[in-house]
Amino acid sequence: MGTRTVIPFGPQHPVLPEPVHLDLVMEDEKIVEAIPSLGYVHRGLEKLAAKKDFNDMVFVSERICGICSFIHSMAYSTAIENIMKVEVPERAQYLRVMWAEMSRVHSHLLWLGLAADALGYESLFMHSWRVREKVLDVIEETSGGRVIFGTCKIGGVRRDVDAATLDKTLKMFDDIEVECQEIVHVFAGDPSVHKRVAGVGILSKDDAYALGAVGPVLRASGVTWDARKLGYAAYGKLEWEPVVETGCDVPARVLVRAKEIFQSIGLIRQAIKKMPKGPVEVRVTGNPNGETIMRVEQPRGELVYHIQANGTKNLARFRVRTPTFANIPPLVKMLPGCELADVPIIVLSIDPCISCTER
Amino acid sequence: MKLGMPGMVLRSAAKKPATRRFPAEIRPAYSATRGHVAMDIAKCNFCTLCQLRCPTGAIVVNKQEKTWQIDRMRCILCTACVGACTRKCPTMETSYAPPVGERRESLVRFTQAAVPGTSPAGEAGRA
Amino acid sequence: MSDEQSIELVERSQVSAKAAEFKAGGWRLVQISSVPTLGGQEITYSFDKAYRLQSVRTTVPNADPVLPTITGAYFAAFTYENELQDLVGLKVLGLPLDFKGNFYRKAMNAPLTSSNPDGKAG
Repeated sequence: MGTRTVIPFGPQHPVLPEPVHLDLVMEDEKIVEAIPSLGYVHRGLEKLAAKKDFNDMVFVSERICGICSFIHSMAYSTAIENIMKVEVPERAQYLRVMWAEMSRVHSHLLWLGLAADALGYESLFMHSWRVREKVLDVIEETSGGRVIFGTCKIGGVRRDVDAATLDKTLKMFDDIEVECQEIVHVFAGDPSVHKRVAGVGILSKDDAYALGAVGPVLRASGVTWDARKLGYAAYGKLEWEPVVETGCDVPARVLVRAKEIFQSIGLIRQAIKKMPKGPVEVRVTGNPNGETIMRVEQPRGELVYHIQANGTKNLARFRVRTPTFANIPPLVKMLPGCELADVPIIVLSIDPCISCTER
Repeated sequence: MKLGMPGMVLRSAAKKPATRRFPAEIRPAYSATRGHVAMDIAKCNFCTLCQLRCPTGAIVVNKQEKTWQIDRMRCILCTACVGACTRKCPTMETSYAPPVGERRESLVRFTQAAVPGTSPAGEAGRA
Repeated sequence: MSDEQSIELVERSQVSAKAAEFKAGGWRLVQISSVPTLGGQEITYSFDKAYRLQSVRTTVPNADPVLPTITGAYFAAFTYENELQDLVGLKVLGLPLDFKGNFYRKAMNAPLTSSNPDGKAG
């Protein structure tokens, strides 16, 4: 047994866009233990629910995460609608699916770019983000915002999208799909990517399930679980199957996310084609009274909203468990036994979103 | 066509750049783009409905002084005020508000002229 | 929603045994959350198996804010339990990774307790 050294990793590190700290206990170049430390960007958004009207909390929930913004507002709105027994018009359900999947495409492209950057593959990073820019343009054209959609509200969506724009969206996604195929081809087939990540960051199927991993991390370890199968919004009416890989390592996580881009594009097409005409919102009156635990699938995994309302305009409890929070214990499990040089890409492989973890 | 990275690089070299030379070349805004809230102060009756609906408290309406003030840094462009107004005074424009150097420059105050419609509505940053 | 949900109320002392039962049954820990009530906290443990959500709820009085850990069954619970210590001010007994109130850097202790409704720091 060699001498043990503790190397601090983060909170500021070139590969991390957000602050998370790991104490890496090393034996030579091998990690024997990793101790996580969070909490650098705790914002107290759960407490804000005691001050804000529950209708205004949609805007707060949308700002919990800058990448999966729409899915947060959708989860919150659906949770309140479940409590208040509000029936949301069907067109709004399909529009929610469309926007949620757009946000998934842009999140996964962002992640593929960051992963390429962590591998030192700068040109692949640039190309991923070039394509992501086109997705952001479609998002802006349909919703009015590039990152914060601002379109979800309790009882439906705030704006309708006309038929011409929907047609244009379909055409744009045809182009985006072709360009994504090229990028994914590089990720899947490039020998330099393969040599760098193959067999790195192993998380076995049993460990993934026992440690409560969610999203692409769970599915890359061979567990079929996708919260969209719960059938919220219009997901129950669309045809799709969760993407599952059995590699259990970093390339498997890359592949899951890459395949989910095409799955999402397929879902956007289905949602636009099946979208019925009609109103996009219903008027919601009164205050919610009741409790619900709402689960939706974010690009990073399962998101849980536990909301308890007591009949006043402020919620009694607004609790958010984001996917990265659930993926911290699996990350701690993945690291021991790895080389120090692999730590950045392993940390990145769970797609950490620290600000939303700490709310 | 799947040629991997060499193919992508060669094709990109032949194409024009994917980026724009901002600010010399500005992308036209989409009709849906939420840029900034504009105000037609001449039509306003100072009912304060927009102030009540604003989730961030960016709007301050003063009935006595006949002023309508928005803090552009607080505004999250949610269009709540646009939807709340019965007289359609605030509107969402597609152009972005200009950048500011200091926090107080983001306060924009509109004052209604004594007789509505006789003089153009003034817009002035508060000092 | 096809999301089936049910909540079972248990005594505080049974929490660890209950978690071990769920673990043996092949359930996945989804979340642990707290809701402030008059004079205490309601702690909800949610588990998932094949898209079914089952929750277990226990109450912890403010006078005796102690909770046994479930990390024996679910190691991943250490994040949630540290969060409870930080935001609600509980003392979780037997935590393998105890951050001792430093899991989150915050301006005040236990911001989510009912005794502190306005949330003012300090």
